[in-house]
Amino acid sequence: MRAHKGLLMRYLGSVEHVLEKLARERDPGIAPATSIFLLILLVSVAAFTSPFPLRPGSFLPLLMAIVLSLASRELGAFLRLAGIASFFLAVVSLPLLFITPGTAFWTLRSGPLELSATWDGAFQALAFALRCLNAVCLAVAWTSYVGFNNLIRGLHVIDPTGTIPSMVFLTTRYVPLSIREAQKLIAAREARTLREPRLNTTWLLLASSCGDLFLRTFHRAWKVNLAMKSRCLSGSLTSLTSLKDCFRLGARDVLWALLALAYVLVMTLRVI
Amino acid sequence: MGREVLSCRGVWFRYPDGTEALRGVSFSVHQGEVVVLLGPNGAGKTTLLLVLAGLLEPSKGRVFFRGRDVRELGPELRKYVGLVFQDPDDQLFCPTVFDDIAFALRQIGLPEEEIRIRVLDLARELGIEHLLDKAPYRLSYGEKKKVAIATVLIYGPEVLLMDEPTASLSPRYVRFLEELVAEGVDSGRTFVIATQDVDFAYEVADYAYVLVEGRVEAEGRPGELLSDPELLEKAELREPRKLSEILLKRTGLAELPGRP
Repeated sequence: MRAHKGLLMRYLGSVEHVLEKLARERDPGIAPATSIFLLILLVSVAAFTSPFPLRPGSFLPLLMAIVLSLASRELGAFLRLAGIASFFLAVVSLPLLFITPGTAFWTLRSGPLELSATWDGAFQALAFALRCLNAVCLAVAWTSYVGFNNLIRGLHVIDPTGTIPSMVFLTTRYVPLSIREAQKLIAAREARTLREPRLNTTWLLLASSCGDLFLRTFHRAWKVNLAMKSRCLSGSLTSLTSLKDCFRLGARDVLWALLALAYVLVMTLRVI
Repeated sequence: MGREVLSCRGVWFRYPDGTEALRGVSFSVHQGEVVVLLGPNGAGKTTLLLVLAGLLEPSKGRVFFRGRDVRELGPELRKYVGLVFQDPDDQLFCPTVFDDIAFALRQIGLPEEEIRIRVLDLARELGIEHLLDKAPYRLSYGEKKKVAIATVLIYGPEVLLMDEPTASLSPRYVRFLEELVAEGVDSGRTFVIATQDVDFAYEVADYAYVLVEGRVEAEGRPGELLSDPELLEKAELREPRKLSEILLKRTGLAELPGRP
């Protein structure tokens, strides 16, 4: 398989791999309520605290994310996701370079069109990218540390009826399914593409397969739904936990709450 | 013969696209019996299994479990009737094999320690303990099939419905299935198996139904049905090898006349 042809498949494979890793059952010894509250707190602080001017503290969320990934033995999956996130963030933040007013350091001229990249724009783009990267990495690392299912159980604090947790639980099952269907669809189409593939061929294949993919995924989801139903012995997908179990706090919860408090202080007061 | 456990009377089923999958099917299975549903592709075997499992509601007709209408039983039926899907990818949806096998037990709220013990015991019994931490979609087809069976066996349903259990499997897995069915019958379990594998059907079945275009074309002992050339032609089946061997021995011929 050619490198560019494998890129899309590798990308889909990586996303699937990360999602599967996150969905694995874990027992970090942290109550579901603590898991969800700390996720919101850690990620909000990382997302809403400007990392500029650059200080060592700007990289604290990234550092925490690496430590958490090491603790959950998921550094590989974490680095993969960080790589994908960085790529997207670079693409998304690129326009900031040109639309922010300031001193230009490079100008692109094409006839009457003139685009100037400014230093202020570069800082804005970097700040935006770093802020998002901090938030995404911390969210993923925390999720892989406490386990996605623990967070889903924690959602009962927000929605005690269990509707939202059940919907999120089903989504975590269906998304990897859709990705696998996409992989099969692309592989089948590529196998019958007789002319020499070009760089954009695979992406065009994916774009042209969206309708089929939707139908196939729908059909697969229907079958999986039947399989789930046939094994939901209580009749329907039961509440994933009780509200009481969400608040079963222990020493680890207190320790993590204190650590999170220290993190919030460092980030907001810009101690380092 | 044990008492009747699962039956249906005049069941019709139509899919939303208008396909009439079942046309007045009547069927029954007794405790400890192995019943096979034979027939060509599109005969309605899978739909009948889904109806018997209570997962699809028939357009007309009724399904009974131990004499009670399954509509009255509702989801309670799932504790007694387990379904193994034809494609294991439809059945396995959890991130690890362990989670998939444990799914039903977690649904009934068993303590995690008990779940672990039960899953490990069953995995050992089926020889899949080395797969427990793997992602189901990374397994070979035969391994997936074994895991799919384990996901249902774990909660011990009285009736096991199996859809094309031998499709695309090596002879070793077919032997494993034959042993599994034999052991299940010894412990009083009832099997309903939809298959096109006449050798497997002849080997394991006590009784057979032949479905063609959503109707029961014939029913009876597998040996009788599978030696009827007209029925075999209509149901796009062939004679089981074992039966051919017996007939050859009896007639003393090198090959049976009229058979390729």
